Amino acid sequence: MIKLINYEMKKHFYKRSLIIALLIFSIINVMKISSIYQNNSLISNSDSSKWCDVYWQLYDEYKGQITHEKIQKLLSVYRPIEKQTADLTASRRMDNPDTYTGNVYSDYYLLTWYYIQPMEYAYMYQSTADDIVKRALENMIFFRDLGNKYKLNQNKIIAKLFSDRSITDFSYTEMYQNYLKYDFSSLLVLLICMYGLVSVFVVEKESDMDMLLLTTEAGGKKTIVAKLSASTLFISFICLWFWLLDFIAFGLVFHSFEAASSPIYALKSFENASVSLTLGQYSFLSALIKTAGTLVIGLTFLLISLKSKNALIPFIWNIILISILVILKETLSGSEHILLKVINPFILVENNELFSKVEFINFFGIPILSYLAASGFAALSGAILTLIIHKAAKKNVIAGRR
Amino acid sequence: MQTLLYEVKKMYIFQKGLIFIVLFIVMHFFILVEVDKPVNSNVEDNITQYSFYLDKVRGHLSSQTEQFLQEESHKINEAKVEIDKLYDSYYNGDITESTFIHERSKLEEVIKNQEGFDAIFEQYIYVREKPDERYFLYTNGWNALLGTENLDYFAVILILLLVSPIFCQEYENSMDSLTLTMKKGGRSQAVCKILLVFTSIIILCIISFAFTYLFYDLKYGLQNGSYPLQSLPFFSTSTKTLTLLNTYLYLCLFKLFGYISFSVLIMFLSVCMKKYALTLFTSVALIFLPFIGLDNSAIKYVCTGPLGFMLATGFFRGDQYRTDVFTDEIKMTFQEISVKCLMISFFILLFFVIFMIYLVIKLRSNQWQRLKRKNMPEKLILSSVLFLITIGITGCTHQSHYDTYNYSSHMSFQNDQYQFYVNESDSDNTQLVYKDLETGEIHDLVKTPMQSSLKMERTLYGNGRYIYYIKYHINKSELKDYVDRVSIIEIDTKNFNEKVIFERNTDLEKKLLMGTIRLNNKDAVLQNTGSFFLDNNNIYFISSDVRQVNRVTGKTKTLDIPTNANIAYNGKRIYYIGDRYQLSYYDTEDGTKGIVPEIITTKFFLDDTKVLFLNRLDHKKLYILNLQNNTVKKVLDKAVLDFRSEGDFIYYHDINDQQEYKIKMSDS
Repeated sequence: MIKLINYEMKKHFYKRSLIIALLIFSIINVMKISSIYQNNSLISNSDSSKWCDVYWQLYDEYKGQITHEKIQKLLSVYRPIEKQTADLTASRRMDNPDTYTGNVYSDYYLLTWYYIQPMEYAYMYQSTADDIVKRALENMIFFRDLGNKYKLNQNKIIAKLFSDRSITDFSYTEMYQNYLKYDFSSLLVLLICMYGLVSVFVVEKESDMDMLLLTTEAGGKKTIVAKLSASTLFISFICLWFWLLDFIAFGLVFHSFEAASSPIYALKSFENASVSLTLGQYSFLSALIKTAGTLVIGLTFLLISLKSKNALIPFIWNIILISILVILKETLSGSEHILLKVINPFILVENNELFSKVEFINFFGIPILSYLAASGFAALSGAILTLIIHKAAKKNVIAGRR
Repeated sequence: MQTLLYEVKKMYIFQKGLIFIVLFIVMHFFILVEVDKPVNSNVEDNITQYSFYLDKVRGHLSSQTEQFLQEESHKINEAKVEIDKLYDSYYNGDITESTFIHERSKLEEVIKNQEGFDAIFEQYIYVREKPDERYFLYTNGWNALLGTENLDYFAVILILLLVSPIFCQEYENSMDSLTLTMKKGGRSQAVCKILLVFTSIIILCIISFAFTYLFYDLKYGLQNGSYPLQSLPFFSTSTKTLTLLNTYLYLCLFKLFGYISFSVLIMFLSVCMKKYALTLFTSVALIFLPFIGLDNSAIKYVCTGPLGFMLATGFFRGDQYRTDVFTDEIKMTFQEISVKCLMISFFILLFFVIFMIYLVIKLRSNQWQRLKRKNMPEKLILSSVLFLITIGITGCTHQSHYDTYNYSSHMSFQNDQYQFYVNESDSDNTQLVYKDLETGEIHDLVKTPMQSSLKMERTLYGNGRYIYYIKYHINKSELKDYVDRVSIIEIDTKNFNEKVIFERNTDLEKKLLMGTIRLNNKDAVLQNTGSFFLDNNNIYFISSDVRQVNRVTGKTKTLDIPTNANIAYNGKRIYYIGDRYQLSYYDTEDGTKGIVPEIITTKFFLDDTKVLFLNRLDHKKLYILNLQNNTVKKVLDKAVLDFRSEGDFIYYHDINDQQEYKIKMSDS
């Protein structure tokens, strides 16, 4: 069987064109990540202002554990600047020697966006989380009295999830902020998979080998299993390649792998995260979930091409399918129709929404967190797709008669 | 000639080209009809008033027009003040009815077209910055035609479907070498194929461009095509001297060139790659990756080959800047593409197109075609499953009895068990709370523990055991937080389960497909609603007007009802103070309007059986209208400033001493 899988791998995926595409796409990916840094980060070193230097210079002073002294020290720098800029009458000269960046307003913005606000958020997070736990506990009592078991369990999960949450360290999280919402590489992965997978069932029909294959002992069902396994390996490899590339490129481009040990809720957009992991762990989990989503979509590609004579029609259908999935995901993004959201496998590929909010699916009266529900749906649809492909492909007639 | 006919038959019949084209046209039409929303919906809503003024100022801004606009603005403002005074003197008995009607019709004539004037004035502010190149005209049509930067996905897919089989099909069937041995195969046939593709694309493009033009001409109207391009704000900074119509013609030519070069690219790739999968993959990657990957900068047009010309709009835009809110610095977002630069990229692409055609003919081939097997059923099932997913968001219907809604009590509601109200003691953090009438305990209505990313509107609406509130979701993924979604939540007070009955994106520009499709999002207006009420079919949002939104389809309709912070609904009729302070109603079932006879009021309160109102004909004394037998009775022989009704009690402010008093309904 392993030999068979190996043959299928060689036949469909060890192609020069695929390798070239992989390389070109990787370069495009890195370029895109670099452009994100230039466009999104205010401290990117391409900017003419001195924000980059000043930020990292100050960072050494304030990074690490948030202490009372550090806060006092930061405020003693910040308050005078805040006062000076408050009525917008301070000088706008760009070479003021008493400032960090040469301009007092620039100083004010830098400190506000990059130090005061993140530090305030981190410092206050514990009380925010405690508030949530307190409310959840109150709700538990309320819903118990009311006899609403579903809501009671929901609040139980929330109370447990948010207890003991606090952010103790201040670190540079901009890289993770951008990395975790980066979705261009998913598109590249889907395109490559689309190309690789569209010929898996078609190539033998194009050369009329499909009939011949059925006459061999390893043909028919065995070949299909081998094809499915090879495709799974291929998708996993492509995903692994791109997710790793993303992570490394983001780290290098943003000049920092720091904050890997900070909790995920250190990012403001993950304030209400539905998992309590560190950023490093979460990056890994997110990549895993993305791969699962890509696998389900990949299996759909295979199913679409199963009965086709050539690659044209399945390829067009694949494009339409991806467009529909993406549009559905986008129109429902942020929506509270959670069931509609989680049955779309694309939400696993772009999975921010599953983890940044605590949302539940009512599964026969049991509250299930949305990311678990989405994973469950994906596993189910993956299994169903595999089964359909297995059943629908041409059977080995000889093996069947024996 | 015969070869060409065979090729035509192959492309349109055997390869189902005709079916694809028909599908494309249907989809194109559907998208135009369904998705297109006017850029300036305000103008569309008040089109007659707007046209009234536009006809007076259309064209170049002269000193006369300028003077006219200034005077008109002054006149309208004065008339608005006068009309209020007039009503007061009429109901105080200072003037006779005939004088009143005469004066009023004169003033109303002045303010009749006020909404239209506001839109024109906004345009005037834009035009007067550069009066030489900005003209007054009706912009919605031209904006829809020229001011969008979307790639026509369906056209790309259609071209892929039509062009890629031209050569790929015969490689797939290994007919390529066979045809080379034939007399009419070879070079002449390759030329034939290329010509066929060109004519098909040209015809398709002409049909599509003409169709789009006609559609917008019929829907909005495309007058004044000879006005300068800069009259549209989208092209405000452009330095190219073009008229609107010329721009559209150039745009069509560029797009045509883009589509032709795209089709040449596909043919070239298919001759080189000899395989469907690789040809399609490469063509799709060459178009979509730069389109999605590159930001909306000028590079998207200049360095992307066919894509730039397929989009084409950017060639006409001017420099664009925006202020970075985080650093307060001005940044360039789009750099104008100069004519020189445009010509260079045009000729480079043209060179490549000719070179590719040369190579295709050199690597000429022939093809033999047979009918493809039909695989429709499986695919149909697959696609229908996907479409089914989108269907099925509807609100349930519960009630038969309808609790009357009054705007004056839009911040509170009471049912048998609870009293709900907006707690405003903390002005930064408005809370919706309720009091258990049995135990007197006060709880938060919104039970979600994670409240830091939510904001609640200061309004409540209740009906029986169901209570509704408006929730804004705050997006914190950027440096600055912003509201990205608004929803209406229904709470069943029996078990306090929450259900979303309505939700909308509030981003002004809806972006789809990773930001590549931008649509006008008219619904964004729903943000900052003062209050709302609903029934089984519709939700009504109250701001300065009433917007009726269908709960299932989401279709929005503005009802022409003045709200004046005094509006009521009993599940069938919306009551409001209409013309001449007459108590009027709008029937939501059949859409008709009417008045309640002989009730002139400045404030009213509706409940199931009666209307309490301040009688304007009797010095604002408090009266009651019994809706069952239509009798009017005086409740209080005192002029009242304001009143509210709570349960059995009426609280009122005496106009003389401004003190609040309480009377019991039954006593009166």
